Amino acid sequence: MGILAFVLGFTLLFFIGHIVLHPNATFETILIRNFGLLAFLLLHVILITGPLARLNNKFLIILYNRRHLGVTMFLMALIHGAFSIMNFHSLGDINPVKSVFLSNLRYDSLIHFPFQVLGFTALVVLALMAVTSHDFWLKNLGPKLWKALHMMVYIAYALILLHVVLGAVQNESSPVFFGSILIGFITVASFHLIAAFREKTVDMPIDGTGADFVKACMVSEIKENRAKIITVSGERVAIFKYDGKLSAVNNFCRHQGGPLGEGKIVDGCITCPWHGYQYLPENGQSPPPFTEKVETYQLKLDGDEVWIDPRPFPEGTAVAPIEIA
Amino acid sequence: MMEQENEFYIGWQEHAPSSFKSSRKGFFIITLIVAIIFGITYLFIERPFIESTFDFGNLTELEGTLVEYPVFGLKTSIDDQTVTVPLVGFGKFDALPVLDRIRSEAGDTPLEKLKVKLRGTIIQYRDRMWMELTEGNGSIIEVNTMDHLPERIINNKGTKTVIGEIIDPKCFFGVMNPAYGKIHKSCAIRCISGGIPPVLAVGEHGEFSDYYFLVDQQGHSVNKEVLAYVGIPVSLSGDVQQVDDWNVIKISPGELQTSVLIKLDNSFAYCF
Ligand code: HEM
Ligand code: FES
Repeated sequence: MGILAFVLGFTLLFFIGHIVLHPNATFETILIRNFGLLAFLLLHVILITGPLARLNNKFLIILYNRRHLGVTMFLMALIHGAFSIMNFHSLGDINPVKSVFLSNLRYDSLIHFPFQVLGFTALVVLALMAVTSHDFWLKNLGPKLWKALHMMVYIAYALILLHVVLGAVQNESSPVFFGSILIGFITVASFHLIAAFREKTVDMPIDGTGADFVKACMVSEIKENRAKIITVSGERVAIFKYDGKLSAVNNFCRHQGGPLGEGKIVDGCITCPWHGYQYLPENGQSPPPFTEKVETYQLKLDGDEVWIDPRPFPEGTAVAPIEIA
Repeated sequence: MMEQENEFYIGWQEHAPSSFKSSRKGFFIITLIVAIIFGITYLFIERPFIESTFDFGNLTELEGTLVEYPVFGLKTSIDDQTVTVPLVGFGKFDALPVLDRIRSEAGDTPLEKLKVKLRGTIIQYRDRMWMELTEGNGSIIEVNTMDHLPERIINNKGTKTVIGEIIDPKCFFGVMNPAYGKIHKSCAIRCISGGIPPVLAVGEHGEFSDYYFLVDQQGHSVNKEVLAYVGIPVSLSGDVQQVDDWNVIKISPGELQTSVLIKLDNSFAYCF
């Protein structure tokens, strides 16, 4: 609902603004610019929600809506791209799609570069992501591959930045346009850097190579029914405390890679904060009829210190929880 | 960070704790404000649009005599002024098939002796009018023969160097707006490739004041030959001619690669 209101509101503002301030602009130009800018704005929103939710889990609620945001953004980009191709390339002497690639041939130059090709490539990447956004594909591709596919949003973002800077920016005289694109980029980059930095300082990577057990944390650092995330030998592991016991599982939710360690024990199950997939803490398996499984880890206690064996057990292996004295 | 009353929310749950809801609301409002500020700023900094028009959906009849040089056009009288209205086809094509049809209807009569009535869509920017023969051969309403040849003004003005941009005139004079520079380059290439006669518009950034048809030394329109130079600021040298109310510059397509000077645009400075 909110997204639709946002899109309609912006479009209305943009069209009325043009009728008042730029009555000579053609309808197609306004339409192409409106949907290009809307897609670009939504892409920034999508890119910011990830790190924002990592910085403060109250924003996870937006992450849950990210698929709708993503599909809406793709549709906006599709309208923009389709109208651009119709306007600039159709009714000509060659196939319109071929024309996108073959009209401006200055692939050897940065400033004269055929910027529409960059937009087209970005649109193909976005289409691939929109089509595979459904859980059906997640199941078929597996969460790791799916996640990798959806990391391509950063490639799309880079392509679109170049598409705009080497295209529309070259036709505008005001540095403000370029300035706002730069601010957008700096905002997206800052959120990612801050979130990455926080994670690094919070979960202090532990080098576990060759060791049987390494020190993970103190029992008192973990809240009841919650977890502490540590990084050991390059894997993020969530150590949960519940009913006077401790269990450790891999932090990567097999649904979409959500951080299990930011979840909570609900009805005796580790519950992922992103979409609520559940796993039993003692064996890393989703309760039947579900079949997802995560790796488990052996823990031991030394006084108040929690130690972990850095070598994971295969997904779904039962490990007896350790009792807190 | 204090853990607020141990709240936990999963996306599909119907009721989110209030602190989650308010963060969503806050985020939405901030996004909306940023978008509105950006949208309004964009409207104010956007480069102004020229006052060109395309009378889409309305067909107009014009009567006059035909010219073939420098381009296929109709010499007609508008508000007591004799103007040459260049003719183009539907889409990104020239109107030469219509010319061929008129020629075949006229038989042995030389083209210049024909008085025709044509119907099409008017394209106009300031005092420059073009016409799209939207209906193809159906645009031909009447073809009559005159007993005298119409007058033509042809003045040679010597060799000149002109700085501007090669545009596709169909879009520039009204079909699209804006229709110059980098964003329009591909479209202009398509139009010129499809036979729309290339025009060198003198000036920069839509502030164009003068127009020259580009022809080769034999007076034929150069299309495929100039595609690589379309939509960028260029400097061209050649013999200049005034033909009725239009200018013509004669260039040597074979020498374009070495003779066209490409000026770099100011706005690149913002990026690099
Ligand atoms: C088939 C793919 C695409 C084509 C042919 C295309 C074409 C164009 C063209 C011709 C312009 C200049 C329009 C003008 O200024 O009048 C433009 C601008 C723009 N495009 Fe694209 N584009 C494509 C894909 C995309 C995608 C996927 C995005 C972003 C999600 C995007 C975002 C933008 C933005 C933000 C602008 C600047 C708007 C403006 O001020 O003009 N484009 N594009
Ligand atoms: S990522 Fe979707 S439930 Fe964990």
